[in-house]
Amino acid sequence: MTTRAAVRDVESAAVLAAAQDGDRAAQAAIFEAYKERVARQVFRMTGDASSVDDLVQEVFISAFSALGRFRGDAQLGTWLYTIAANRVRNWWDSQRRRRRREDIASSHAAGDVVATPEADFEATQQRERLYRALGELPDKLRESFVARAIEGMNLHEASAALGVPISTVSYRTRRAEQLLCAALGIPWRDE
Amino acid sequence: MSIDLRPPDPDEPAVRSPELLRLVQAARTAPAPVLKVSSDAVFAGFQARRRDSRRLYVGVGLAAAAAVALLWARPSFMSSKTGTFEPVAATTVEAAHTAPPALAASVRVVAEEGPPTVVRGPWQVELTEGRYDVTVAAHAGPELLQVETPGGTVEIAQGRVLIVVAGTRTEAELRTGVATWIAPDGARTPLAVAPAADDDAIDPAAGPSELARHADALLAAGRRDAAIRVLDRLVSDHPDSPPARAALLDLARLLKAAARTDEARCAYALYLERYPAKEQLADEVEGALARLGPGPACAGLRPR
Repeated sequence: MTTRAAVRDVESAAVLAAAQDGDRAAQAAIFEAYKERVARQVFRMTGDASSVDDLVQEVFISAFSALGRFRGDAQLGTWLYTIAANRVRNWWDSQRRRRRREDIASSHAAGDVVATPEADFEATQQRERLYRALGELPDKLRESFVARAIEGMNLHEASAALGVPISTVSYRTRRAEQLLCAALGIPWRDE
Repeated sequence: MSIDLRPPDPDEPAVRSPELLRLVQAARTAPAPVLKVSSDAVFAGFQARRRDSRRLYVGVGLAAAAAVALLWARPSFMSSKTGTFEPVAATTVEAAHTAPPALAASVRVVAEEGPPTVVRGPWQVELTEGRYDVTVAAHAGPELLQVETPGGTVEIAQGRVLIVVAGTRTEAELRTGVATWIAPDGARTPLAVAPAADDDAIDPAAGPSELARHADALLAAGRRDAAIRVLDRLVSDHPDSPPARAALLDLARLLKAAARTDEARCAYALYLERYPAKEQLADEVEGALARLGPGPACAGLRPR
């Protein structure tokens, strides 16, 4: 688990510099401190458990390769959030991944392999529906919606994580909700 | 939707629709998967990327140096007033003698057909047209063998991979171990171990799910034609099975990618015949079919 102490330790300049130079121990310390957080983020953004390992690995490899560009203006966690969001954008762009999702969804929908209790199965179906619709949203709308609605960030947190003003987060989240409701056949009320 | 110029309420709800909120709750409460990737794997990937970057810098540097050398040497070539090339009497600088790089001890590449392997470094080879048997024995370090081909790169951590290169197309078949296919756009696909026996043979007793998995494995190994045969069998023999819809869509896409346009057209048409509803992507398929343009009737063509 990520602990405050662990995060403080790995954000020291010495650890970051060592990791940038390819020091295995320093990289391992950063990975261990942030891996759960990045995995949760990636999972919330994609809804696909089978892709989490690959994406987490890509996020950290990209981060270690680009550590020289990390200025320390933001926290390392925020910087990793941005890298993960970019990797997830690529993931959504990948037609191959989408097709895999279609396979999974269609086999679940027809009850081909159902090894979960009824309630779990229903929740899985609901998640599948939501993520299918999320996959059709523009990246920026999807990211705002996921940060606010699924990751549970408040407006300030989402604004910092996404690097956009609060009003933009608010607008994008509402617009995403409108489009999701339309895609899912759910009534939408603009209050 | 009208643009609201008021500042947002800091406590505004993220989701207003109760129906949508139910779906969101299902996503929120889903437990994150147990992470299997280790810091060792990340470190190995980082090292591989750093090597790639260095190779790129070295390549660019060498190319620049070669360009400068060419420009420098050109006046001596063109010294004749007639404009014809004259042989240079003597080279002023002897080409430095460098030994060709050797492969790492853990690596063995056998060219079964085609020209010999081009060794770029201890952990990097380049394959041109032919058939190759590549083996990377278990080793202590994090090194990964990069096998570069015109169609993409095969990255082998350990094990044996059969690689066939034909033009710009590459087929990689993992027999044992761990390897990854890296497409030219950088997309990485772990290779699945192919069955040891004749894996083109389709088990007559195979069910639809097994056929779908078989096709996935063949695709992951870059074996499109074999995957097409398996998918064709799935959609033809098990049309009512759950994986058949996605398989038919995949089949159409693969046929189109293989420039088998008439068969792709028939696959899309069959899809619309079987799955006409909008939520079954019928609109998307109609668009794809229209883009293929008119063609002959599907009588006698697969899939049916």
